[in-house]
Amino acid sequence: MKTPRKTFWITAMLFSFILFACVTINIYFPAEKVESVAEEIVDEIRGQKTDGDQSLLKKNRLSISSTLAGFLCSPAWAADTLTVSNPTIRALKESMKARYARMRPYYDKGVLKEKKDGYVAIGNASGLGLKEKRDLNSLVSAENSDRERLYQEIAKAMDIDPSQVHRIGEIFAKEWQKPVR
Amino acid sequence: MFHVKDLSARIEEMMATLKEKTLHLNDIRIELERGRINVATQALSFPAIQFTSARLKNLKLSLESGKGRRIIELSGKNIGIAKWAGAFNLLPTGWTFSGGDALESRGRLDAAHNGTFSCKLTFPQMSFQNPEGTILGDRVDISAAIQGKADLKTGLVSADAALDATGGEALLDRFYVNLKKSPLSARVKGTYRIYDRHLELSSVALRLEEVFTCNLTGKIFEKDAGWQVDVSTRIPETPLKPLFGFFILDPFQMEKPFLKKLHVDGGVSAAIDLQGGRSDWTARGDLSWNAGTFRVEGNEMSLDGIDLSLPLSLRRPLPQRPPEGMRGHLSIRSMRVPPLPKQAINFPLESRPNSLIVDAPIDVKIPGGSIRIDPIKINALIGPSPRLTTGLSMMGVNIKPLLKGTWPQPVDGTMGGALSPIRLEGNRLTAKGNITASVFGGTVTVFNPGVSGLFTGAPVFRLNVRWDGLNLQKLTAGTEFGEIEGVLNGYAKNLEIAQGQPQKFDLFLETIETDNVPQRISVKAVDNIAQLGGGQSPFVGMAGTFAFLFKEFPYEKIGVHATLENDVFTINGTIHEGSKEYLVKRGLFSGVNVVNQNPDNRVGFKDMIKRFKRVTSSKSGPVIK
Repeated sequence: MKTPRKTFWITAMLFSFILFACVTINIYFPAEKVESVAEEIVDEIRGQKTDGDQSLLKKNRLSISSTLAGFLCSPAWAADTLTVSNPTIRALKESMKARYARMRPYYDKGVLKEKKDGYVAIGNASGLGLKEKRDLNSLVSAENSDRERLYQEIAKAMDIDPSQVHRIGEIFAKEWQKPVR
Repeated sequence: MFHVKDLSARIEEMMATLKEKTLHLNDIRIELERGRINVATQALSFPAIQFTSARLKNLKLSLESGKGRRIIELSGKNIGIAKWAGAFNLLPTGWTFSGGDALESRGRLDAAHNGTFSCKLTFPQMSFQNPEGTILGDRVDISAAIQGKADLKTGLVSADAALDATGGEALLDRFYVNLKKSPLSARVKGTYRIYDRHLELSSVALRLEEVFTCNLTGKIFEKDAGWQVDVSTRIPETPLKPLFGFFILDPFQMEKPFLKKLHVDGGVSAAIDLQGGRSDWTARGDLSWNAGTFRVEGNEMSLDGIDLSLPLSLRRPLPQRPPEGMRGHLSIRSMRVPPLPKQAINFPLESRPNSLIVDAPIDVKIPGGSIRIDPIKINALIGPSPRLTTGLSMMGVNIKPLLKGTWPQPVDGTMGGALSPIRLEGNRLTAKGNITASVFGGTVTVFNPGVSGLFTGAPVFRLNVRWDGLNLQKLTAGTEFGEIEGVLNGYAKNLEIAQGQPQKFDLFLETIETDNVPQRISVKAVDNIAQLGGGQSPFVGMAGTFAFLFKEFPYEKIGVHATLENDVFTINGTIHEGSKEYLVKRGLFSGVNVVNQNPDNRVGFKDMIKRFKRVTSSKSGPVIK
């Protein structure tokens, strides 16, 4: 015969099991797509690609995708849905592109360092004058502010949870860290 | 009497404790050429003692005692004062200093314990940096001097001090100063009561040449084991332009390029009283801007004849019973903010602890009428994120002058409504309420508009719009789109506009049958709807051959549902019959059907721009039956 105590524990364990079995946390994070977006955006900002143009590799990738997709569904407009863009993102890219021209000499001198979180920092600035340091501080602050907004906008455009914005930054970091083009 | 000649001494280590700080001196070497000690008169004289230690070098010391007086003199060049002070934690940890120094000081004490002192320290070509690299000095010429008198019986010290930085450059975070061009100086007069720990500042003047001057009087004293201040600060009338350049334009123009377009002028002054300690303090005062101008280059926006008296009341912690508010005002003789008409503006300001209030409504003229801005309250002024709350209302505003130049035909109608509350916090502005325009025979209502990223380079405007009963004939008359007759309902939900372009929306347009209103659509409008929906003109081939026979077609319904997100438009018809989706459904006996043959009708942003261009240039869609 079951004692009330035993019954309580079995019920509690069963309840706990059901409870934990039901808790599923799903956070959508399309890492590969973010990688592709990061590559495209960084290329565009650093001058390898203009907005609207596509690299040969990208074109080939799209035509293969389109060919494969053609067996399954209509390929119409599929190319458009692969991009992540809106007027805010375009404005941010333009602003960063213009700023990159001023930052590039500092990358070349090794004064600017790309961090692993997708943001830029000042490394050894000992050779610079104070006014130049001030201007560089401002450039870095403006760049990081734009990058933060860019990652947030990409998260919004791709339906990524705001708590995952830092992961977008980490993926972008790999592109930013590539040798300056 | 003892005579001392060519004395040389070496002390391995010497230690002195001053309050909680212990001073160590190692490898001390003392040398003197001559000196004398008179035991009978208790007098001594050592006119030239050379003092050197591991950290302090080249120090010359002179001691003289006798006849009721004592004199000590210290001097030297390249002594290593900064390194010594750093090693003894007399300077902030982690700072680095380099450069020369020189010292000249003299102290004299008489038998009545009255003394005089003077000290001059110079640091030529000094460079310094804090550990974070945010405070830097490069080859700065600094000189500091103090002279005064002391009564050791009463513990009263009176002194005049001066500090000058006259060469080199300095950087404090974003604030850069070329000290050769704008030397920094400070002059202090005061008395210090040693036993009470009370400093009375009878005059302090801080001046950054060509930028500003600040005067201060008051006292700093110890109370309940903490330091308290009670000071009055005055900034005399100062031209605003150099202040704006130094504190705002130069430091922040890289991050906020729009600052380059701002031009300010006039004179500013300030009077602020500060009282309290670190955790319990009050700042009250007034900032003034007289004969001011504010202009935005290339925008035609200008404010002239600005007269501002801004009361300021800051307090931590907030008092349980707030003191009486301080009053001020803002008046602008001529405000020009396109498209608003040029006008004068004037309203009172009131400051309460950590808040600024405009307690009376402000009426602002706009084309076709005026809007009333509700009382404005700015809270949490000393918090990380101040909040502004207000409201806005308008009634019977004539729309015609508002739409003049933006709509091809003169538009009759009125506009009214209220947005309340309107809140601004950080870069985000939100508003609740609606503004309704009675126009084109119907109504257009804008709900809950807002802006995010307001003070950034990429602000995003958000709003929801609903329209009911719009007479399409009035709406489309004279437009490039082509004329349509009928009555239109619909909405644009979650509309976002950035950089002057739509960024996101959910648009719904549907005509409704209305008594005595014909439903007809021109060939041009059909062509444009089809082009926008399908990317090409329906009037090609056979359809094109017959199109010239008609100027317009009857229709049963027009229904379009379009969305934009992530630069992708979707366009669909809202009329479904069987498997067909219509954008335009023809009349019972004749007319034209515009059918959407692609249920997944997605269009990229650039393609849609091309379609818009084609709509305004050529004719070339879906199937026409």
